[in-house]
Amino acid sequence: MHAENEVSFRDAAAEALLDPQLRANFRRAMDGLMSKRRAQFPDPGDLQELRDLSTAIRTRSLLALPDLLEQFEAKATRNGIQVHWAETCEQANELILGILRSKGARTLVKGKSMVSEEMHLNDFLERHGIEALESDLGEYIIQLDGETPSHIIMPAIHKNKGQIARQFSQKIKDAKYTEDVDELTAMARKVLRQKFLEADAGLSGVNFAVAETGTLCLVENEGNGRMSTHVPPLHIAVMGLEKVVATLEDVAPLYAILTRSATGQAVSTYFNLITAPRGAEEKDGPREVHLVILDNGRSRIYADPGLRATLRCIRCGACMNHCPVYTRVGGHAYEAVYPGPIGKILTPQMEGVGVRHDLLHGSSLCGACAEVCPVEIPIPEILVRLRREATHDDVGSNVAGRGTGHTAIEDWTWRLWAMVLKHPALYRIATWFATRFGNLLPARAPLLRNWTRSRTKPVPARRSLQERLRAEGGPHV
Amino acid sequence: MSSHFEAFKTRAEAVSAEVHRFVGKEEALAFVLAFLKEAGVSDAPQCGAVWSAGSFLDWAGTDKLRAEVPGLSFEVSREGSAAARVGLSQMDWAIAGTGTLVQDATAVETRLVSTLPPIHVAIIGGDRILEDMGSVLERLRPDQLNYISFISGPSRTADIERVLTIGVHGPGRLVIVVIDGFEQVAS
Ligand code: SF4
Repeated sequence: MHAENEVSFRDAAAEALLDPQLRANFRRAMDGLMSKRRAQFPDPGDLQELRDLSTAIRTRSLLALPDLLEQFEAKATRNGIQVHWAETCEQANELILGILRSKGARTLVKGKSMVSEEMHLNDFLERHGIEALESDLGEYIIQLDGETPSHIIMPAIHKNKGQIARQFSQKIKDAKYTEDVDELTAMARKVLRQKFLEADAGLSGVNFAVAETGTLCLVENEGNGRMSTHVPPLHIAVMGLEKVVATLEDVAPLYAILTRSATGQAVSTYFNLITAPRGAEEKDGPREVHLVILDNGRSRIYADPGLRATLRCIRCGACMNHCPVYTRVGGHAYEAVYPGPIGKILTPQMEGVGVRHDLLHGSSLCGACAEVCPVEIPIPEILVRLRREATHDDVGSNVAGRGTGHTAIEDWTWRLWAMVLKHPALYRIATWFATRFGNLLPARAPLLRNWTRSRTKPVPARRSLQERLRAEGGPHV
Repeated sequence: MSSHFEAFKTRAEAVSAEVHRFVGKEEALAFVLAFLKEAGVSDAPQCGAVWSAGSFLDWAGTDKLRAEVPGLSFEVSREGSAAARVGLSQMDWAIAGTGTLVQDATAVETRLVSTLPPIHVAIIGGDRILEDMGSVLERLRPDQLNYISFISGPSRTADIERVLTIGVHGPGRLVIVVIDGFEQVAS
């Protein structure tokens, strides 16, 4: 079973640790993000109050999710937004391709959307002859190099300005080499501005969807999200089905805690509430607004009360910024769309614990993620629960691939262990050997090595407890 | 209600906006005209300005302004806004707690002038500054409006090494003109 598991977080992480440049880039960025977030929450009491409120809102929204989705769809449809449902990423991609083709669109300019990353939408559209261009500066930078985001909020944070300067000078026409961040930004602006004006369609993500009014809320700083929603004549939004909240009143606290947790800003530059396409008498703006709602395993997660908290996530990235593992190995080592702590619990649930149980062990369970998460997702608890899921198929859950993440060696070890514990004679022999000769085993012995790599070798006692009790006259054993 | 002004100004400046306060519409208009001149607005290519509809503009009179500022247009289009140097629009509300401007942006013109030109001049009555987002949402309901914009400072990014850079896609300058005694009528 292990053999089909081609990706290995352990190997990728080991490789990342050997790259001092990468480590320096992450260290600096994460330190900055952590201190900016801290500055936004000077009073721990106020922070806890806002977290309690946000957690309650997300929990309550999920509790009523099926109803809220229906209510949202009805409202949005009445407002003139065309709502589509996709169970899988393939369906979502096909839907978007269909919408683009029906309008004869050949170019799509994109605001930031992690769901579209989940769908690998860009690759899919390119294969079907449609140009999909990322317009968020960070996303644009990584798209130029054919990379994936290394952070959900700061997709290009693994690169420093020297690397970006080299990349721009090679890949942007007539660009000169400069490490001046303002100049680099201006170069990207120039290219992208032109693309915005030419694009046939714009795509955006969604931060919150409001059931009561059928409104899509979009949080951003650059203005590209805003432009994607009203410069091209067609706007397509994509979102995971967990994004709905009941009322507009629910949005204000979530928005307040999102920007503070994510980038340490009290407020984002732009916050857009989109409820309908252009009116009949308007000359500009999108003629049609489409919304694709993606499941991709979410309803399976939803059905399990022990895992449902995963869907509370508002994608702020704070758990990454504070994770001692993520800050050292960076986002790419996870080889998943969502890296860091949230990725460690989300990816195995979406793709199956059989294929991605490697991620479940890339954690020391220190709990930093749960401590900063604005919606108090118990990430370490869910990790432990999924670790069990990975090796047991009898736990009565519907996690995909459960019980497939174990190896023959593990199976035999446990079988042997059970046999020894079941037979007192065997147990006595085993402990006799372990106490006499256990110390002779070198720390680098096969199998033991996996344990001793980062720990001191356990030293067995010189006599087992049973032997001592017998010798020293304890109660009968 | 303009007791919120100082708080608003502090927060708006903290997110790199420029805030000016005037008593009466005449003073404000004089400032705006001088500003446009200083920004080099003219009828040369790429030097125009676009101004989207609002009660301040109605009061000032488009004919008079057109005569006074060559290159100033009130016919807002996508291309025109993209080629303009300055975009002007009237806001509906402001939020003191975060230095935010709020606008019913149902008319796409209001979005174009506040996003595409490198400078955005935002006009707002001094009595339109409210305490927080909740107070605004009580007054501007998205079930009646197609698009609502919340704008806090000029466009920004920190995607390269977390270095703050202003004016990535949207405007690099946001100039806020607060007018006391404007008695702005609701949109
Ligand atoms: S799990 Fe919590 S901290 Fe991590 S991205 Fe989601 S909301 Fe933010």
